[in-house]
Amino acid sequence: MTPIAAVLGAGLRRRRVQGAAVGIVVSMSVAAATLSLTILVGSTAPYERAFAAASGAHLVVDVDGAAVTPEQLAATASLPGVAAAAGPWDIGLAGLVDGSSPPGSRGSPGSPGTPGPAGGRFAFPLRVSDRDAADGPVDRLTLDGRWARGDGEIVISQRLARLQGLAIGDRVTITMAPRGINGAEAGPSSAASAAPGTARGATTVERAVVVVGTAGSISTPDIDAWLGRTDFSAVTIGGPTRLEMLYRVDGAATAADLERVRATIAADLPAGAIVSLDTWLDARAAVDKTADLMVPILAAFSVFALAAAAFMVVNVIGGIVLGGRRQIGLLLSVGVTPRQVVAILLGQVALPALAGDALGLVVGTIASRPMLEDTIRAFGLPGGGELEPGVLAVTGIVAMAVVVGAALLPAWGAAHGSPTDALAGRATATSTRRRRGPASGGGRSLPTGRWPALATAAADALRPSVWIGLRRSSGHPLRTAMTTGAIAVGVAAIVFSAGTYASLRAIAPALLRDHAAPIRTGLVASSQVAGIETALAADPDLGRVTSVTAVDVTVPAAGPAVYFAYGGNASWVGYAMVSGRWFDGPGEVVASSHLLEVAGLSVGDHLTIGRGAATVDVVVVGEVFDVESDAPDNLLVRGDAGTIAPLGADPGPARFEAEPARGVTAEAAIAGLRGRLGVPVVLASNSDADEHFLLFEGVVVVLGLVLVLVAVGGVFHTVLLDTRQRALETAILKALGLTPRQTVGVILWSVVPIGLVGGLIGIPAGSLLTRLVLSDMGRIAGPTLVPEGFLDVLGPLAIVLGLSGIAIAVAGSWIPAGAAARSRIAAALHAE
Amino acid sequence: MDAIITFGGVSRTYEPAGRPALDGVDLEIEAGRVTAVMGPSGGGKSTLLNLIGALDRPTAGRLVVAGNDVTRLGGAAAARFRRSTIGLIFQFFHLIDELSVIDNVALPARLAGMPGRAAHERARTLLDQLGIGHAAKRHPTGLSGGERQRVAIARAVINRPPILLADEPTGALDRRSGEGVMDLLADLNRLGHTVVLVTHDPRLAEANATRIVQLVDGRITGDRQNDGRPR
Repeated sequence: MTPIAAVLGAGLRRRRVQGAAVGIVVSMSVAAATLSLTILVGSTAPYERAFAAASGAHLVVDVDGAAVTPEQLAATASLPGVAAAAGPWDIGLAGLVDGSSPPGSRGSPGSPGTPGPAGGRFAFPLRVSDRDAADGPVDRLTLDGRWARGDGEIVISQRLARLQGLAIGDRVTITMAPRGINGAEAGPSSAASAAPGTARGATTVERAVVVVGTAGSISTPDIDAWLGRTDFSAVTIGGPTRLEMLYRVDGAATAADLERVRATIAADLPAGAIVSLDTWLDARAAVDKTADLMVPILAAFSVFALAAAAFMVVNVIGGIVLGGRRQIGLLLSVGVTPRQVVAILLGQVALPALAGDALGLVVGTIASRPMLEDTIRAFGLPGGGELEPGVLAVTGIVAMAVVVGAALLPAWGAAHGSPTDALAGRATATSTRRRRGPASGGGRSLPTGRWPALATAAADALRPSVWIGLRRSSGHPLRTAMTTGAIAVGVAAIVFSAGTYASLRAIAPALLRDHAAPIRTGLVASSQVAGIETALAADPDLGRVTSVTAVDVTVPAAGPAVYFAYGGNASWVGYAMVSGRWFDGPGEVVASSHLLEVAGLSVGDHLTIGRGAATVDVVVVGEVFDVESDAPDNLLVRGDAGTIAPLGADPGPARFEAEPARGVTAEAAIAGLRGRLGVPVVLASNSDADEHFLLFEGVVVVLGLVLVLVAVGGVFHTVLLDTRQRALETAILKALGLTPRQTVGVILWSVVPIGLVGGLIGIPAGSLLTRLVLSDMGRIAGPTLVPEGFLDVLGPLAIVLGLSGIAIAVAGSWIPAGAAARSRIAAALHAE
Repeated sequence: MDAIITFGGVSRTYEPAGRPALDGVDLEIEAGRVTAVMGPSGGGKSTLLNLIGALDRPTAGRLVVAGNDVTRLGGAAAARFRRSTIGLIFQFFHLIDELSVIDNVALPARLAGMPGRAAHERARTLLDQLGIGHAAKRHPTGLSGGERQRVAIARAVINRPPILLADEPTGALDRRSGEGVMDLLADLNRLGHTVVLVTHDPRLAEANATRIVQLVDGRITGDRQNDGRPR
């Protein structure tokens, strides 16, 4: 072993606590960075990656089974432009029996539990397929368990399993589709048509099946379950017959590419046979929109995590190198070269850091797995997402680069300084004047700054532990700055997490409007509108009711837009306003932020709405906070139906929104309506349970907590090292009469100003970032501006959260302070 | 003269199976005198001083200092005991470089609850008496070794403790500065402070102590008045 290696090894053994501190700090930083970066990368183009992994279908075509034979449809696989195909499979509607909540939870049209034909028990609608295998050339399913080997077995979608709480091995009963769901009217089966093993009553077909697998499909996420052929036939009797075929096509980058292939397929089938067609571009756009909303949040947290990591690593490692000055002096004095000293110092830091780096990658990987799964699931994608080896590699390498960089500068300076200064424990070069007391002359010159007379007088009035602690707080400028930075990041993370969470909690009901107008109908043909309106108005379980009709219009400078025409008073439907007010009758409208921006208008301006050659002039009285999927680019206007009457537009189909009567729940009101109207009636998506909002909220809470822990850990290690390096000073104070409690007080008070300053920096930083991220999310989701009230929901509470800087500082210092209070005085005095 | 410090079979062992630093020491130290504790390095001199100052605890035996059974003192009580009863003077001064000279001297008084202004006034008086009033607002790192030790002595006596413990107080000083420090200790002894002086310098002990205790391998191997007569 070379002498340098021997010195390095001895140093590592002797400084185990220091090595452990480096390892833990690096591991915490790397774990936090891995966690946020993994989810950030997982949220970037998630659909493309899942699509490529599953060899997803560019086109999903459903055809009328009465018009096309399976053989005819299968033959389309060899048409020009088709690279690969899968199917055809039968698609049908069935029901899941027995006390489970419906798939889709609240809000999915067709999802509510519906009294089915199964002897009065509730049956929940299922879209089922007789697909015969999980793999194949197109749309390979992610499968847990195994595929159904025949009748009596079922494979359910991951979504259904989650929503119904079903697992592999569970026994479930499937039946015919509930009446009135998605247009299906499951008629009574006949004894002759029921398959063997079918329990049947006068109107019931039921099949007991075992869940043998759960699967996810990138191309057919609407399929809830896959059944054996006989079971499928038994429970889909009487429903519409459809065949489904999946295609991968040559050149699928644009809608035009896909349209060419669709036309080829359509031409090969009887006219009107295609009943629905889904493209991968539409699916990707829907997923990407949700994923894009995640990116600002995750990017913010990634910045937090990386900044906190950098502060901690630079702080702890720089402190360690500077704390080893005496060792450096000794090494230099016995003939070790400065370069060898640098190597020794780097080795003493880099080896434990390397171990921490590896540990952090493992911990970060493990911790990110469930969050990544939740994220991918919230995007509606199958599988749990894949960890990116590149993220791990880059994180690990960058972390070590930061460690070496943080150690190199002070190590280089120390190794090239004066050995006598180093032996005397004096800092070198640039920091010498700052850390040394005045060599001569009068004046009051603390090594690290001057106390104004007023501050000194104030300090004199304080208790000794406060006075001494406050003096200590400015002991090491670099360390103080780095610790302040770590705390500021922690406070900013708290403010950002709390602010974003509170804002999302406020935004969710404003967008989903489930509190104001929780009862929604499906689309109603214009010929039925009057009748349904009368029925709703007469229903004693309902309060206010309004109809909404989407009408395509044009707006100068903005081009095509959608006018949402309300029948009667709609001031109660729950939209929040960015500015202005809700319309008060014909002639007044509210418009989306994007429309106003594109049209160059402001609230109070006149707007000309056109349809064909006709136009109508209206006043914009408000800018509505609105994210409407039925309006491309969120170019929309909302107003009274009477406003656009002069345009002579065919009102087209409408839907209704309603509130329950006082004392009546929305669920009860819907139960009373169901089956009477001839259209689906559903609850609005529950803003407390909306999957996307829950995802965002979960991410900000979890990552916020992680960053707070990182900040506390950073303070812990900084104070731990500081107390060890100040062991002699603490022992002197204790020898002079400082009690253990006062010792704790000194150390806690030494971090209070740092926590306070960190809080003062963190509050505006966190608040600003909250505004930026939420505004960016509004731009992505709408585009829309976000009402001011949603951007600053914390208000004065942010100040209170700023005090969390002190809490972080105190929490991180508590254990080292206790250890210092218990330390042996004599040992520290004689160590000198 | 009454004993102000009484060791009764006191031992201090740092490792369970290790050789004791002090091994069953029985010793009484009279109030108002200068007692020198001598012996080779590792003989237990500093351990003895640490135990008297409640900086450390015996592993066996009983030690009573100024009426306080220091073997029974908890952490806070030991701190209060040190404030009121003990003044500590170290070889390497152990001043706090970040504090000014006057703040260093006033520190024990402030820890004892004296208001800041009063503590500073008393510290200023002491510094003037010790001839270093001019350095009150400077920092220890800017003082000579002798000046620093005077500051340390001022700090040791600011609470007027009955006992001064001096651990090699001249060990880091030149001869002239060392003599000055010993003169100060003698003056303090004349003012009524009991002084326990640890040194390995026989000349220092002979010149200043009224009693000399020899400590070798944790045991008392000699104990005599400084007139040549054994006790």
